[in-house]
Amino acid sequence: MTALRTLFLLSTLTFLWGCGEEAREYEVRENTSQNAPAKAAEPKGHVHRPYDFDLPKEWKEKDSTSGMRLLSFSDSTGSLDGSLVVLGKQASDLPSNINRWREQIGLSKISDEECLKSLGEGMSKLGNFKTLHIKGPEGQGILAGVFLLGEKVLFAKMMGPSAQTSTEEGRFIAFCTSLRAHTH
Amino acid sequence: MILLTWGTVAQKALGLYQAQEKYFSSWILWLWMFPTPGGRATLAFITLNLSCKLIFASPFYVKKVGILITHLGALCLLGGGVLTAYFMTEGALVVKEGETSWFYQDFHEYELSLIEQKEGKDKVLAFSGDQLEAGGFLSHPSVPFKIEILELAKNIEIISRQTPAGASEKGMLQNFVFRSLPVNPEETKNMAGLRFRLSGLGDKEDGQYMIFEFMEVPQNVSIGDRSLRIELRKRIHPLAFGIELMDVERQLHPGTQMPRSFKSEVYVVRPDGSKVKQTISMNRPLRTDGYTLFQTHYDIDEKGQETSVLAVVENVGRLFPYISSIVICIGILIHLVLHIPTLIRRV
Repeated sequence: MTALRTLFLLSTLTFLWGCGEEAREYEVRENTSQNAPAKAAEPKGHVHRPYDFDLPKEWKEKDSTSGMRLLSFSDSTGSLDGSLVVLGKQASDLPSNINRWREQIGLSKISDEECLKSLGEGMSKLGNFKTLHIKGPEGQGILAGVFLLGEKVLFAKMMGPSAQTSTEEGRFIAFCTSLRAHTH
Repeated sequence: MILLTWGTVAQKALGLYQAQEKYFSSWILWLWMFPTPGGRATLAFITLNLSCKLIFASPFYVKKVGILITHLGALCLLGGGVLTAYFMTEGALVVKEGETSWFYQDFHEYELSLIEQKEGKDKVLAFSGDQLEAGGFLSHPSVPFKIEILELAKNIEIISRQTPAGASEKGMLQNFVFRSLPVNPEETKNMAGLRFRLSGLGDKEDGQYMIFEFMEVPQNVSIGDRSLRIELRKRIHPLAFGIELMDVERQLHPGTQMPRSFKSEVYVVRPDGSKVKQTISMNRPLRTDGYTLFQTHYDIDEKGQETSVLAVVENVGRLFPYISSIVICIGILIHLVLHIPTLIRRV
């Protein structure tokens, strides 16, 4: 009888000890709206972007929209790599971003004040935005447009040979100016 | 009692959830370098002690049946506690007016989710927060890669890189890193971050990645023609029904902007399309399919779109305190009744 009781107690403890969790698989429907068209109806490969824009006709949109990029594009020569990236407001510190870009093309860091002085201004339907064109000693350049949108920050950026960034600067500003909220 | 007092006092400094986790939901409570039993270890010891007493040392006589039933009632109460501790889930269901939500999101627990979108559904492989320990490896037959957890922090801030990224650093890590911050007692003010390494996908995708809660653009990886979204988020609990919000109302105290009550008019939607109309208000939760849905919050955005937030609780141990109380009362009553003749004789 005692052996039976011991067995009962041990089996209960073993059962409880074994209650762990492995990876779980599940399916969940996205929140569905009666008013909005189902996302499932969107064509394969479609990437939902919260922003509309007019890409200069000389530029080419690239397929690579994975990772952090909403849009990848290049100029007509293919030598500049362009991107449109949206991040949280944690990434909105302008001097940190400018110094990071400067380092990417071989320039040294500058003070926060100098960073802010190096910025230009633009205006789009998303509001004012900051512009930047920097050229490094090794012939590389960066064009950037930064949109501070409250909880988010939107970066438009082109990087490549500085001769080409100078050529494309006007189109880049026009592209930034065309950015607007997406409408159905 | 000591544990209870410490845990209660600690809530002021740590916050409700952190104190509960540290003192009451832990097996070991570290006091400086000394291990002491946490809430779970204490209750497990009491349960084991009570079980051993009942199984090995209780006299199985008719006269003692009341005591045995009372013991069973106490064990039932502790058993309910085990079920609640391990299987209760609670979270928030957020639904906009005119939309239907089919899941709720845990208040506390994290998951690392690998998500594939198919036909309007998210097919998810989720690793629970307990599995995200630094140095651990995660794998699953449905994905051809391994994830090595490098760092998990419950509260972080994102900062720009001060040094150029290496070739193995991908995604957001190319431009940013995160720094751990102390955990905020107000849990909603924390933002968790995870650094991990993927291997088995080829040179293009293999490498270190960084993700964090509330990322605006999720991290994607490609596996052939499949695209997987990787997210660190509060755990998702799918529901077998949907909640469609028809209308949400907020009543204010007269002459103020202080809310007096919220009320949501909803349809409980079944996968076959059938619907039942229900009302959820602050003191009238909806109970369905083992879940209890409470009205907790209301929001309206700048476009006038109203949103209702419902707290969802699933607790399989919910009835155990009631059942065990009844069993304990019955046990004590039987014990008293069986001992009435003895008492009378003594008198």
